[in-house]
Amino acid sequence: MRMLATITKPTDGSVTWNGVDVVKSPDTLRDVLGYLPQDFGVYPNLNAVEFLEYMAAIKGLDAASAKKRIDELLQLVNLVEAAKRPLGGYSGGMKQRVGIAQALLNDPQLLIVDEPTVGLDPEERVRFRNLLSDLSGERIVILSTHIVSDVEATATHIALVNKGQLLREAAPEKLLNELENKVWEWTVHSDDLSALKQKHIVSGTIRRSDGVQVRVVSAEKPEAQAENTSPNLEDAYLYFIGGKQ
Amino acid sequence: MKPARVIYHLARADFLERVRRYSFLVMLGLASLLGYQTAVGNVRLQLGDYRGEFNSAWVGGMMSIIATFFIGWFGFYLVKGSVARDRETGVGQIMATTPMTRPLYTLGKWISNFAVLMLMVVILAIFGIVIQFLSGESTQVNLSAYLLPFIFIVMPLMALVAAIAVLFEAVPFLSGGFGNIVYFFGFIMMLPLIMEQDFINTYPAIEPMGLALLKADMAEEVIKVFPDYGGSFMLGGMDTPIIGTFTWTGIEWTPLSSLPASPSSVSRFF
Repeated sequence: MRMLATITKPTDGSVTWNGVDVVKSPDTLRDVLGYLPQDFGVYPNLNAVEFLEYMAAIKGLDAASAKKRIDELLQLVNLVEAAKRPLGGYSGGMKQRVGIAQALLNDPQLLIVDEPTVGLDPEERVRFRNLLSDLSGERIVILSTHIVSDVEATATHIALVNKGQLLREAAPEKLLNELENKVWEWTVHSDDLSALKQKHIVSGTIRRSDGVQVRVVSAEKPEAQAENTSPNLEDAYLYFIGGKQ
Repeated sequence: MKPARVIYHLARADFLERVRRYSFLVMLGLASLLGYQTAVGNVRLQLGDYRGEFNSAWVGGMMSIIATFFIGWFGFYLVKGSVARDRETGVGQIMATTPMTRPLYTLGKWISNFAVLMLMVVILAIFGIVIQFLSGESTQVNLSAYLLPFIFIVMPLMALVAAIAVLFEAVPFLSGGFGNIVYFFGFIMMLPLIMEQDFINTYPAIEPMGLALLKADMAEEVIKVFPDYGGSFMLGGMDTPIIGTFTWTGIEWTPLSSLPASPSSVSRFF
């Protein structure tokens, strides 16, 4: 993500934007880029307006455009009422909304958000990912996350990366199609669970009165009593990542 | 992108962030305490057993020395850390994704550091005026005599300290605790090292804290009135009683060409 955002240079491969090598000409992308880094922090003693004015100047917006844009963005991220409060008193979700507001200041064609929902409570996470979904209508949004439900809710295209290598890049439907007939569920005795985890990729377990219902990703039917079930993206993630580890 | 706008907002955000912190309030409180201690006579400037009459020039010179010494020394720790904060908060990463250049960023940080330091200098300068009135020795305020030492001695030093703070943050091995120790001892050791050099007597303006410059000019005046003056120059809490006062009207700031004879203000910038 940092390479895509022109912060670090790749040791191998290339990054191009509309055919232009962004390693050689980073400003080509920077002019149209919005970036929200992982663990985004703020200047705690500035308020949201001051912080966004600061970011707008750095991104090259003139004073009039910045003021108009900041007003619009505070509305968009629902921070109008808190706009004059010091950022240090904001919740994690509010800070992330300031983060997305700063990323949108220059109305970017490409928005990169790196693990934006880590540390947010479920309500704020849902609100934030809905915001990302809304934003994706007008621009490309690259979202990096380990939270599969965020991907299910927002992504129209998925790239699975493991140890710096691209494993799969496809629409979610295509990834799920590849998992058809490869996800199984059945109930085992709780004593057998440990051995089962050694043998198969277990994507879920539910405790029941008669044992533990397990969910296994496997190309072959793992047990006689196993029944086929619909795959989800978490299964796909474990299948493709697990297969490479 | 307008460079002036970028620098202004970079410096402004940094300045506001710092002056709203408790640590700045503490430093401001200490600067005020220092001013108060000077006002009540617990901290004073003394040339041997003598001191200057508390007119604008003397108070301005004394407060300049106090500012360069205390704010120059401890202010460094207040302003250092803004680059580290950008690194820790991820704001630095965001900046790296914008067309802003490194020189602009460095310049903005330097201006912000300078503004914070100068704010404390202003507090001390205000206390100086109060001190002059409290002393009752001279009620006439000569603004140029009072302010010129701040402009020609304190400001350049604060600019230097602000730049050193940015430099220390840019050099990896100086950016942490080691850099703090280096500055602490470097600052306090630099002064006697420079003052012992023979060329300082000829070119006192080279000494960056202004002590040599002020000492040379004040000594010229005191020796006219008290020929037994032994050459000592002290700042601090004194036990030695004052046995006489003299009138010092300040440095006559002259152009660069007269540097060896009468140290120049302009030369201080080079």
